[in-house]
Amino acid sequence: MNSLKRNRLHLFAFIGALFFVADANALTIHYGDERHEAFHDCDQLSYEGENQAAQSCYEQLLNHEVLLVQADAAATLGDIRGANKLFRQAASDSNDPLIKTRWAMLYLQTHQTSDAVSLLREALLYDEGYLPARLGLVEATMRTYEGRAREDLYYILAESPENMHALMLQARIELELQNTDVARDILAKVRPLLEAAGLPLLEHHALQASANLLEAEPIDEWVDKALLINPVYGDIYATIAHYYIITYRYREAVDLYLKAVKLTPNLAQAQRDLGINYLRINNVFGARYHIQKAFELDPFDAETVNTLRFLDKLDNMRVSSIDINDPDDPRLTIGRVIIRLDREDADALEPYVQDLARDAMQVFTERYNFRLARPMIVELYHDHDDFGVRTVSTPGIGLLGVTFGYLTAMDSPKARPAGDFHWGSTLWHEIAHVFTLEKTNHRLPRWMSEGLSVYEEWNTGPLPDRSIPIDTLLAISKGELLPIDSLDSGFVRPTYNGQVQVSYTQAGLICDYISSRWGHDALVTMLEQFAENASTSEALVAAIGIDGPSFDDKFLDHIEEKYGELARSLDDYQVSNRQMGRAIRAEDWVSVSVLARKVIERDPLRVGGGNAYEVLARALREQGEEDASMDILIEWHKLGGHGVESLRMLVRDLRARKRYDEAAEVMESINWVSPYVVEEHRWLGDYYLEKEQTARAIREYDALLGLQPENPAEALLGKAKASLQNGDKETAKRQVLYALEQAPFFRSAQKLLLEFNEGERVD
Amino acid sequence: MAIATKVETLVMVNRSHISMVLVMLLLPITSAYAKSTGLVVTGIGGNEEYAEQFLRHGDVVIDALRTISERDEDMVLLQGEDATRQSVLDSIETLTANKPDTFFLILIGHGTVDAENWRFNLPGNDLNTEDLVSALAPVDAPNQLVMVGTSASGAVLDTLSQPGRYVVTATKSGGELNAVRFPEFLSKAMESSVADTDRNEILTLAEVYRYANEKTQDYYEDQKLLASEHARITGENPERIAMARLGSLKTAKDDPAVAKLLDQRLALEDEFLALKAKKPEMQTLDFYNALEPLLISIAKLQQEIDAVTGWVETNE
Repeated sequence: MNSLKRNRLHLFAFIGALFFVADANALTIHYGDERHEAFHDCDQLSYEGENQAAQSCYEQLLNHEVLLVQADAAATLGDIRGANKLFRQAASDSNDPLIKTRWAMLYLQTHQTSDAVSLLREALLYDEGYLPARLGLVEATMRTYEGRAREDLYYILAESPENMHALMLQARIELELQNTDVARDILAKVRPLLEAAGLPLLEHHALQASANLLEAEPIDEWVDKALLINPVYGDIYATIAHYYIITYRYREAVDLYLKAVKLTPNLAQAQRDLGINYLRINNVFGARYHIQKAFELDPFDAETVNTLRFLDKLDNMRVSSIDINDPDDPRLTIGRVIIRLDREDADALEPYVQDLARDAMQVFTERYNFRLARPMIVELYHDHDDFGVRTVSTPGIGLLGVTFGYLTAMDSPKARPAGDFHWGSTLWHEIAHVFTLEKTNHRLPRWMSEGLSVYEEWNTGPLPDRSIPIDTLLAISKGELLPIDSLDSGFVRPTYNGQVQVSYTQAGLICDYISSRWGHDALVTMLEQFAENASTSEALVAAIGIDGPSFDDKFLDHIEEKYGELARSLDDYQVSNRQMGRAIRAEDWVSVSVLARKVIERDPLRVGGGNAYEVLARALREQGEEDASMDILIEWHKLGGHGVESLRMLVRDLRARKRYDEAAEVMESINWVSPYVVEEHRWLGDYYLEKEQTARAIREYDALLGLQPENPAEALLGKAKASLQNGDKETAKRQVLYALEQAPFFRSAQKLLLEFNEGERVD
Repeated sequence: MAIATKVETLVMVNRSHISMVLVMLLLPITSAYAKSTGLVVTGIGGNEEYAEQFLRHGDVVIDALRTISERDEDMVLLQGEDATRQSVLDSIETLTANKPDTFFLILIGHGTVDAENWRFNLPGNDLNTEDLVSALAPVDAPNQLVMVGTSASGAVLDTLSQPGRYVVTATKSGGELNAVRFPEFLSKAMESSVADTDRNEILTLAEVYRYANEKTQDYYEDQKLLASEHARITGENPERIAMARLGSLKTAKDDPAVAKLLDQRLALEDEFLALKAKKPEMQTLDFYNALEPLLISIAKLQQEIDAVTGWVETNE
């Protein structure tokens, strides 16, 4: 029985039985004064790691005269169903916001965030300023990494500057933003408050250790201090490990999680995160073991259940590998790529993935002067939800690709509607991450990592599209681009819709600007600086001689020069677009042509969705100017236009004019957007065969066979002919037999077989 | 019944497995050389465009069917004003009176459905499900194919299905009411060798159905339209039913010398199918070692046939 089935049984068993999650949660320190005084002694025992004694103490509170105390005690003991029942009883006929807030915490404990939020909002209906409920909402928001949490805390602390719970949450957020100085100031402020209140410094020490980690300082001092207070405080390692993860150092995170679960084996979340991060470094066996443990401890955690389910699917994927040669000396190997694909996709995609991975490894090895020390793993998922679980343990994410060091995972083109994204460009972006992350041992800031990948997409990738998204132009016009020193916050805690995308583009523009002004080597120098734990400003000074603020001035001047006018005239630009839309609806093709040319003149690099090139091409075609229409599409394609329908039309036009070389080039582009069309692979295979480009011909025939065409014999014969061109008669003959096995009366294949048989074929 | 269901499912759902099924069942195509009769009827177009299309498809299909009949008059085409309900019923009776080995009935046009009945639109009275059931009930040809290439044709699928009879409908139910594209791809399959995937120059029902069905689906995908028709097939081993001869077989229909060579080819083809059926139990190397001389024999024989029939490479 596979583990999913096993776990399903377990899950149902849990649902049918009492909901007990025995002691599986991280140690909660109750900073607020809303906790009933009856808990004081029990909590102290718990804080000190006297878990048996603490449990007995909490059990006694199950008989307490106050219903809310009974409920909280049940929740602390992990009796979820009992606690839920008691909270419901306590809440009936009561307008006490505390009951709803504590009840909400039970829901948070069982990962039901939206229900928790509803209860917290109900609590605020009773008392709109009720602080514990507001802090509960911040905690719920933090789970989704929304920037609002930081803003909400700002207001709470403005009203209650010494609220310990709020200060601890704020310290966590600042650490996530890698503002270690700010975090340390907060921790320094909260420490005397904690001591005065008689609360443990466990979390305080964990966060201090995390700050040390982010600053590449030793963590032992703080760990030892925490373990002196509570010798079984496994959370110390789990807390710190989180900051390894947000800085992409998964191997190091795994080491810490291992320490966490060794010290406290019942920490469900640490077991889960250990499993998930084992997966990120491709230790599937370890992942399964610890995810299974996490499930046994906490069957309510959707991330755990999703990951278990995913692991079963992972077993069914097809794995292959290729060794990549040094382009300057093919006898040398510069790395290995392991490719994991869904079986349904594998035959069709593998030839393309291999080609692109080979090109990328050769290009990036040279450009970053860095050779990968381990095999790179490339995974493509035809089910977007599998990819979501693979990357963040949650289905429904909006990303296309994610890289965890040597492992990169992304949607396959099948995961999205045909032509929805340029999967070649996405894969190129992700492989760039592998190099930049590993060269710096994951010590580069997020903006630099994303910026370099975008920059490589633009400059060396298979898609030259350099369109600047409208959201970014709007941010430029509103002066919302972030200073380079704090650009990471645009990724980690965005403060407005679309800021993450704006930050991607800004980071790409920054790298592009540095490269164009100071040379690509300046970027490599910056990477080397980051590997040595330099800050952004320090890296800039070392690479180009100026710090962050000075760079910002120059960069903004550059942006103003390049995009300022366009950004300021966005309204006019959009008016022209609307006029163009009206003219299209009225089928007034003359006006459409004029308007489209105007739009192109204003923003010639916009070749993505809603671009004016395709509109102009159509308008010209409608006016009978087919050559001019084709020329526009050629221009659009050269700039990176990749709308499938227009590309197909361009291919038809080029083939009709016998411009086969150009048609082949465009068809190659189509396969990076929509690789599942038999006719394109067939035509390209035959084209490359005629040009005696045998490797490409074989790639196309392999992709064609992967699509399981109605007539595989032709592709097999194509492979036979390509093998003959390579001088590989053995393979050629085998392929001919395969072809005739499919279609025994296929004359061309019969002819070749007879030639082999009669010894006529000597080449 | 279990096998029928399996074949139907494979044909409809999994295009990649059909060839495996064909081989494993190991049933030689006998119908190409047995007595066959057939009736092709095209209905009212409703407008010029459809009327022209139906006539064209009817012509293509009847020409293809005549390549497998002993005499052209064994395959009858009813079109335009001649295609009345009564003439259809009479023709079915006449064409099946001498108990052919295979009887084809192919309807192309518009179909409609009401609460009780499916109707094929013809000049005068429409032909309905009951008419078809009554007309086909006495037919005792061991192999029958009823292909209903009309809108709403899925309504007759279950009613007409019975052992020994293949039923193909352009839609999955009576609810798919839009005019169908299936006949267009049916006629494309039958007018050239595009659907002859094993290149044996005998177009089988399985090949025709697979081609027409896939191309119909592709059409809707290419046009980014929600598919308003989903073809269906019932009946065991549709690869046994020949629907047309192509290439050298077509041109040499009446040549006794070619017929003799074709008999030899048929024998080799049977041998080939038998060997392929054994493949799962054989070592890979043994299989290909056995396959190679057989394929060489087939190729050499084919060269002889081509020399007699004057087949040229461009035919492929």
